[in-house]
Amino acid sequence: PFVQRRMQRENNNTTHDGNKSKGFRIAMVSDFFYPNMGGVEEHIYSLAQCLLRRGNKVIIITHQYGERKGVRYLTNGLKVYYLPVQAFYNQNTFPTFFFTLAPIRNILIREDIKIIHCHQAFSTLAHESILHGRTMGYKVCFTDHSLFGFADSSSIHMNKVLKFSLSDIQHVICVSNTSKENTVLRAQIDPNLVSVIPNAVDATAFTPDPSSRSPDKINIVIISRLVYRKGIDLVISVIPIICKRFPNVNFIIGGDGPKKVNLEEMREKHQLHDRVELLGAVKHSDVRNVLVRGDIFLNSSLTEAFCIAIVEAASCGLLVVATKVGGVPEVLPPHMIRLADPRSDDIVEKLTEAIALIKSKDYEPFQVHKQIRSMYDWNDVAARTEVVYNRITATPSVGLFDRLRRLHGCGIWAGKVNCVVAAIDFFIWKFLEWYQPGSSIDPAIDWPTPPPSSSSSSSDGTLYS
Amino acid sequence: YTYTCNNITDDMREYKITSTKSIITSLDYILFSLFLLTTISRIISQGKLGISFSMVLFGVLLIGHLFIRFQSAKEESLLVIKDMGVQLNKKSFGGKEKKIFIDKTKISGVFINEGCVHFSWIYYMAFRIHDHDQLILAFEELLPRRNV
Repeated sequence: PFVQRRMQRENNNTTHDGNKSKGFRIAMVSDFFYPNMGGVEEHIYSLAQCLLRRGNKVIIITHQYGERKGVRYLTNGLKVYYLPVQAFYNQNTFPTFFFTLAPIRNILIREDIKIIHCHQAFSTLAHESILHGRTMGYKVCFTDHSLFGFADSSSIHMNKVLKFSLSDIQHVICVSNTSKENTVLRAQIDPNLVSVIPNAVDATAFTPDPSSRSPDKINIVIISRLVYRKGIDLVISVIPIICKRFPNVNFIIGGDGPKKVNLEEMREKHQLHDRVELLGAVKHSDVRNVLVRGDIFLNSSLTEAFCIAIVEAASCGLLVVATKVGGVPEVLPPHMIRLADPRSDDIVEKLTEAIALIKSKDYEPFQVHKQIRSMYDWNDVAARTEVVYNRITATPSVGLFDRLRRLHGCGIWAGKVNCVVAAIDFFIWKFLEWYQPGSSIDPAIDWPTPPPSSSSSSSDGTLYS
Repeated sequence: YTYTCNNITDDMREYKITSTKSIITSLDYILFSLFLLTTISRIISQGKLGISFSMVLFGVLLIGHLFIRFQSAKEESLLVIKDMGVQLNKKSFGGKEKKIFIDKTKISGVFINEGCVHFSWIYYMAFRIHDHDQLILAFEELLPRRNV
C-alpha cells in the first residue's frame, strides 16, 4: 500500500485542469535565494529562468528574509515562497526536522509538483525537504556547489548529514568532476547516480570594454569575499612583490570581509596607496564595470568547486591567473588562464607571465568573450538538467521498508537514528494526510507560460528578453 | 460550509458562507466523556463525590473549548451595494454580529492573493483602503474554496 499510492501520482504529467503539459513541474528548494546575493543564488535563479523559458513550471521555496514573507513573483512569473521560518546562522534555517513538513507538503500539493530539486549542502532547508520529499514519494535531486574536507569536526558532521540525505535520493548533480569525486567519497554513493553539469555565465551581461582600461597601466583585479578561504593571505604577500617589480602595475580589490583590515595594513606598510585601490563591497550589478577596468583577474582561493568568478572575468576579456585547486583547472582552456600552485612565489611567477602577455598585446578580449559565450550558456545547463529530470522521472518508486533499509546502512549508530527520524516523519505525514487531506487544499493557479523557445542553443542567450 | 449567493435587488448582492458544523463538535463529546469517566472513577475509588485533578483538567478544557466555539464564526457574508460600497458581516455562534462597512470611495483596491496561515497556504480576498496600512479581509474565518 505504501508504494501504490505514490505510483498513482507519478506517471502522468497532467495538471489539475487536465491539460497535458510537456514540461516538468519542479520545486527548487534552498536557504539561499534573492535577496541574498551569491553564486548559489545566481545559479538557482538563472537555471529557473531558463527552465521556465523551455516550458517547464518552476517554483522556489526558501525561508523568510526579514519582512519578506509569503509569496512573491520574480521575472517571467517565477513564484517564490518565502516560508515563515527564521534563519539562525549564515542565512540557514533553524533545523527542526519535522516542522517544515506541513508547509512544504501544502506547497507541493497545491502547485502539483512532481520533482524536488535541492541546492547546496550547507542549506538545512534543502536537507529537510529531501527527507520530506522522499517520505511523500516525490522524485528528488540534489545539486552540490561546494567542496568539503574530511578531517575537521565540522566536515565530519556535515558529511554524516549528507550521507543521510543522499542515501535515499534519485540523482545528484555536481558542478565539476573534482566536485563529483569529492561528493561521492563524502557521501559514499554510487558514482552512476552523480552527473556533472557545470555552472554557466550570462555572457551578455559580462562583455568586454577595452576603452575602460588605462592605456599605460596594467590593472590586476581581485573581486572576492575577503576571507581566509579565498586565499587573501596569499594576495597580501604577492602585492608588494609585484608592485616593486613592475612600476606600471596597479591592483583593484573589490569585496569585503574580515581580511580587509590586513590588506589595509599591508598597503600602509608598503606605502602603496596609489597603487592598490580598495573598493569595499561591490554590488552585483556593478561587478562588470569593475572587471572591465582590469587587464588581469587574480583568484587565489584555497578551495573552489567551480569558480564562476573566473568565467565572468574571462567573459569580460580579462586574462585569468588562478590557483590550481579543486575544480578550477576544469573551467577554462589553457590559453585563457594561468594556473599557479597556492604559494606566493608561484603566483608571482604566473602573474609575471600574464603581465608579459598583456604587454605584448597578443591577448584578444573579444575573441575570448566569444569563446566563453559558446562554451557556457545557461540554456545548455537547463537542457542537461532536463535530461536528469527525465531520468529520475523514470526511476521506480521505493517502498517505506526499502527506504529504511537504505538509511540503516549509513552507520552503526547513525543508521538507527536515521531510521527513527524517517519513521517519525512518515507518521507525521500520515497524520497530516488525515487532518488536512489533499482534496481540501486549493490548487494554485499557474502563471500563464509563453510557448517554449525552439532550440536549446539560442544565439542570443539572454535571460532577460 | 455552504455557499449561497442572493441577489437582493438589482443593485445589491450578498455572498454568504454558512458553517454546517454545529456548535458542539466531536472534540466536545470526547472531552465530556473523559470528564464523566474521571468523575465515575473518582466516585468508585473514593466512595463519594470528590474533586480530582483530571476531572478539573477535562472540565476546564471542555468549558474552554465551548467558549472558543461561541466566539467562532457561524456565518460570514459579503454584501456588495452598487455605487455605494461593501459590507462585511460576521455572525458568531454566540449570537454576536460584527459589521464593517467600507465606502466605495475609500477602497483603493480589491485583490485575491495567497498567504500563509498556520503553515498552510490559502487564497484570501482583501480590500486595500486609502491611508490605511492594514488590509481588511473579506472572509476571515470561514474561507471559501478557490473556485468559489
